[in-house]
Amino acid sequence: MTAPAEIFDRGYRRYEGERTGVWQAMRSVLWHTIRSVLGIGRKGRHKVFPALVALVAFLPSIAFLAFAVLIGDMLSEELRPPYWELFGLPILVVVLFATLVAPEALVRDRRDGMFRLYLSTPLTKPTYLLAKFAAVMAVMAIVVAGPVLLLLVGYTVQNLGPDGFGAWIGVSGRILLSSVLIVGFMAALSLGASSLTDRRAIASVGVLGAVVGVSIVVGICVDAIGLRHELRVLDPLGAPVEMAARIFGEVGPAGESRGSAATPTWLVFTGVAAWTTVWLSVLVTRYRRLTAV
Amino acid sequence: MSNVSPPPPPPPPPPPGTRISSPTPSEPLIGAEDLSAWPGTGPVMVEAIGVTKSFGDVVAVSDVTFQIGSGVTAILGPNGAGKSTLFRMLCGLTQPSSGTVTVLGRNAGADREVRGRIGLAPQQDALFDRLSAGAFVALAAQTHGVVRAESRTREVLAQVELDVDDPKPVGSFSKGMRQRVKLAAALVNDPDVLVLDEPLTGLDPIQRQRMIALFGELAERGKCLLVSSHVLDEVARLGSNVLVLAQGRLAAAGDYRSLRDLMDDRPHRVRVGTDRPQQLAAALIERGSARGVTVLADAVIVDIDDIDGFGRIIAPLTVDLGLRLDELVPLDDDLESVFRYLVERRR
Repeated sequence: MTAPAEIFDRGYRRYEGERTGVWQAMRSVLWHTIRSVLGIGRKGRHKVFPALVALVAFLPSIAFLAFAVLIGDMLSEELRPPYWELFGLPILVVVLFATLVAPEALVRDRRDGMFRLYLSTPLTKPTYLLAKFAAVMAVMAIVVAGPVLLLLVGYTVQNLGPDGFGAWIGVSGRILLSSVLIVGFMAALSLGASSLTDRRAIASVGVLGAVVGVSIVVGICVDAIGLRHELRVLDPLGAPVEMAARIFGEVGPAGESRGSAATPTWLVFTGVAAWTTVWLSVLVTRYRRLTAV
Repeated sequence: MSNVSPPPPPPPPPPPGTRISSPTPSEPLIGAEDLSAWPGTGPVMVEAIGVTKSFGDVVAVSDVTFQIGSGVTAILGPNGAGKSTLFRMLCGLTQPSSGTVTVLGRNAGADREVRGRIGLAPQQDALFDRLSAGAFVALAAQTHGVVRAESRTREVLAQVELDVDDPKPVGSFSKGMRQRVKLAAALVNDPDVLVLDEPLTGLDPIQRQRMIALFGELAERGKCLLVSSHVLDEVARLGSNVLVLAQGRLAAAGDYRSLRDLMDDRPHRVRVGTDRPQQLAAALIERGSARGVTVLADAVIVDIDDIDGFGRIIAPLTVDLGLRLDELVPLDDDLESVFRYLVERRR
């Protein structure tokens, strides 16, 4: 008697399984973009820059926490920075991070031809951009919200946090709202600037120019030429932090002016919203015209 | 089992100012179950009606109309003929300037569902170089909404003979391996329509043979494969149905052998092997049976208008002349000749 045998069909197999909709596709693009930007699944050298930037962004919070641990209850409220200031201290690091994140998220797909492949799936240009926007926001949130939340948690553990549960929730809510708005602003700006070129290095320079360059121009207009100080709401470095200060019910450095009233809060929000709208329009217009070649 | 229809009679022209619109999304897709039972004459899977695509002043595709069913159809044309533009329109990556392109009865540009049933392997490298083949194909599966992405990735990579567990990034792959990764990514969603732009480029002869066999198998399963290639003898092995584009216009559609027969203005060229070629050449000219002859050492190359008539007279003629007839070989009914004639005629 011969041994039992079996012939396996090695031909093409149909996929009979379930198919999900566009959300799965968006989630996949989102997760892949996050992995790509943070160097997850890649060699160690690809993780160095994101890790270094994140570390620098967290340094002020870590320093304040270390101070709090060492001094403890003796650390008076005056010596503790308001939470919104933590959005401002590492702002240049946040911008630096944006110069890495957005070009990596957006430009690479166009250069590699992946944009074409993505659009041959159930993804459309709007859903693709939405996924990319969400990915950039998620990554940027690490360096924007992370340090402030760390400080809040650290202070809470050290008994230096907000008094009572209600106050704690209030502060947390303000931190989250500020973070979402700042991250949204930075994502719109960096993705908009990155959409204008197919070269990552140029995109990074473009993002830097759109933030630091414009900030310098606004500074010259107000400080050197003497134009109205309200123009600072157009400063991409100062306006987001000022917005966070207003969310915490305070006035930040970009809203103050010697001898004149503080810039109205609505104007601060309008400035940030205007830049966000401008750069989102650039992004959408550019991709609407872009042919997936 | 392939079917390319020549352009159907043109639809009545719309009134001035009317836009030719795409089918509405409510129209049903052809179901996969229907396609698997494709008998060769069933539903049209890809259709272009009066399609024109312009980029500024440049007309890339001009008033192209055709219908394609299941099976392998080769899209041929010289560089700049509009093949890639046509492919992009089929995949919904760009919309025609006028006319309609439908895949499975829908406009791929506006319909997510139908895009999920198209597989695209573009000519240019469209790969994440740093991902492994497995990770890349899995990403393609996920963006297509394939739930069992991992097992499906394993299946299609095995189909193109690549190892899903190979950790090497595709950036380090040879051209042929990259081609196979692209093909696996195109197959991962089990598409009904496959658009393959130069899919055999870079493959070694054995891989080419296997891919051609795979294309044949997919065609037999009722899938519609649109393949462009510059290697015409490979196209001929894929199947006989062609769409020939030249200068953005559809030069021909159908079985290339039938197309050759339709080219009455082109003399057929036949090699007639014989032991006394000079004598045969003289007789053919004298009797007016050939438009032209070229005498070789052991054969005569004959240009003729009526190949059927020539087939009837050549044997009796050699008998009359007392010559030996060694062979009778048509020289220009291959795809390359047909393609050359069609494209040259456009120039």
